[in-house]
Amino acid sequence: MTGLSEASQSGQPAADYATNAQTLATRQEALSAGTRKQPVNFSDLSPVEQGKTLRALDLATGDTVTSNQIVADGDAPPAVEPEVHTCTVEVRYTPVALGANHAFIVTTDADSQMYYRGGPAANSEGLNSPSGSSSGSSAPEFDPNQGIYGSIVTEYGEYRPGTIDWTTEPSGQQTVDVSPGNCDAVDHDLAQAMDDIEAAEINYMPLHQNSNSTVREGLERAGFDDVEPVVWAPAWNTQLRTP
Amino acid sequence: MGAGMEHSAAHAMILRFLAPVCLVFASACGQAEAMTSDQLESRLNADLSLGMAADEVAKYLNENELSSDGAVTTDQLRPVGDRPGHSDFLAILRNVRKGGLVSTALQMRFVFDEQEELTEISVREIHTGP
Repeated sequence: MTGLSEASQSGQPAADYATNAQTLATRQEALSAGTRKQPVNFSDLSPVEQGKTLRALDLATGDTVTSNQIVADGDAPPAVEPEVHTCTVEVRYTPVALGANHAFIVTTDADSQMYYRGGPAANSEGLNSPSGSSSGSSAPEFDPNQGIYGSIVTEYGEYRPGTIDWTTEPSGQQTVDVSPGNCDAVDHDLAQAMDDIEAAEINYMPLHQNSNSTVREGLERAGFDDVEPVVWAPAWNTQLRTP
Repeated sequence: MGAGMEHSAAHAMILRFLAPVCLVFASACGQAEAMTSDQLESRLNADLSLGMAADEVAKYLNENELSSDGAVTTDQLRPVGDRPGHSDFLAILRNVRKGGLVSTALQMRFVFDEQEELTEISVREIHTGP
């Protein structure tokens, strides 16, 4: 995975698409373009969403006075609807085979939704895509000495249709954290973790060190310790040899 | 309830021990006739032309079932960070190859200029495993 500086120094043509630099720049563009989500009425939210909103409100205000008042008023929306901005960090899962799952991280704030993931550089036929098996333009070349799957390559960017882990029906989903404000700090830490993991050229082994190890490592590096997967995610607890 | 949980735990244990064995067999079997990124890119370059409108590209992808994420629409256009006025959308074909626990997807990217006319097509492989 490239860092921003590496991406800009790579000299790669535009064909090296969806680089992290582009994605992050796009995100900034979206910020400046004012593409903020429109506030919705509290009463229009599902019970789960109402609960999340109230929790976020407590975090933002530092107490439960306002949220308690909302609950006491029943379905009535608050007199002045607070514009609550939160950062939600989730782990989502997609099924792979034999009951095993692939984990990836999704961060969501008022302005954007980002994903972070790891995977093998090659498939089991020892084939890979030399032009870029990750979103970065300086992904390590496939090394047959590292086995049929090559090393762990990471990827992050805006989470949208067409991205590798895009799904509306994850096999598992868990909220790791909801905090007031935006996800800038978390996104920075996760991006750095993904860059470090890829740079370490760690041999990908499906059941021993893999995408799930990458996610757990990324969460730890972003300050979220002791997260346990809600579905079977092999090698979740494997410690990766990162700098 | 307790018996059910025990059964579930036993099932999970069996799966964990069987998985490596199944992985070896599945990898050995492999898959034939898998599309490569080069083949897909050649097809796109043959069927699409630069200057084509974004909605026409989306229509082509949908009619030819070249998106595993449902219909591609121009609503999915996003600004390209380092190219002012340009935008892009993605499409993906999942599971074009599968070996053992790892599957391969082909991700397509279409870049458009200020007039939402096609300027660039690219394809790459991405692999997913546990």
